[in-house]
Amino acid sequence: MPRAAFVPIRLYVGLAFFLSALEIVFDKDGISSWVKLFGETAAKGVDSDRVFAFYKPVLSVFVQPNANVFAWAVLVCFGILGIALILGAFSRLAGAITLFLQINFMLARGESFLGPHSDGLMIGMELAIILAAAGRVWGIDAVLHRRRPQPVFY
Amino acid sequence: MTQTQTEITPNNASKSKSLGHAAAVLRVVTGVAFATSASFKLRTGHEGFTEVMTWMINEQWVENSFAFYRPFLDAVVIPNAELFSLLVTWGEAAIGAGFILGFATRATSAFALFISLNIIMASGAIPGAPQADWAFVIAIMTIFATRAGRVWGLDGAILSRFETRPWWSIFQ
Repeated sequence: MPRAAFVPIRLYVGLAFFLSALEIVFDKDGISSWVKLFGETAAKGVDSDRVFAFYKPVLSVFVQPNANVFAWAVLVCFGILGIALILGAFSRLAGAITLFLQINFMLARGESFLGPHSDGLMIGMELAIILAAAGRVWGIDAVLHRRRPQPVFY
Repeated sequence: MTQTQTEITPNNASKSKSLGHAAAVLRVVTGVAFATSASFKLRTGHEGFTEVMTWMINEQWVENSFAFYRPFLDAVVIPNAELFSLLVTWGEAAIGAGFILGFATRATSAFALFISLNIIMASGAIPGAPQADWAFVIAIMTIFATRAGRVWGLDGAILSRFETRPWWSIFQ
């Protein structure tokens, strides 16, 4: 089975995250609108009946009071993870972090993992990147793996 | 053993296994997405979905659909909206079942790609932009390329019963 078949998936997920970061940075209202939206989403999640009960304390105790810090951290993560996946650098680690972020977004919005939307598909794509170590073809991971085989991060 | 032959080593076997698992996970997740989309349409009811589809084509997608595809929507799809809503709903259900079970995966992928590209042309998703419709296209192409039904799927179970590959294995 060719590992190269998973490269378009790696590039797609990388591009999706990187373009999201660019969209936020170059928004006409500036990054403040992203920070505001982030805080509003967390507040909405706390009040929503759709959000799982176990996740509400995460939103109310950690995210909501520190919405500014979380919004910036997520934005930086979007950019770095996007570039890492496009270049195929530390793709397994990057895939795992994108998976973690994606799951948290879905939990915060109270979305079903089986709904007719593409978020579930993104989770599948991120799992495929991790399992296939998609950066080892046409990526920096190929060089890293040849020099020092380390299966966990790349 | 000559240098051109691939040596079966524990490393190669493990690589092949993890790639197979990656393909199987992607196949099942894509199948679940198609199946839930079909179940949503079935729950809406045939008449309800026909109305929604006609409204989307006439109102929401009217300015975005690809120019060469618009006459097909106006002349063929809209007058036969009931038939097309039925085809889309049951087509998605069949694709979902095919992917989840890993049955006739290549034929299923080809059909899924056909439906997804038609939706893209109708809705006018921008080529190359990371939108949901393109995510499906990329996932389906990967499933096709990796013959994903041969791991954790009926295709693999069926093929293992034959000593030589039957001609119809091209659909798997």
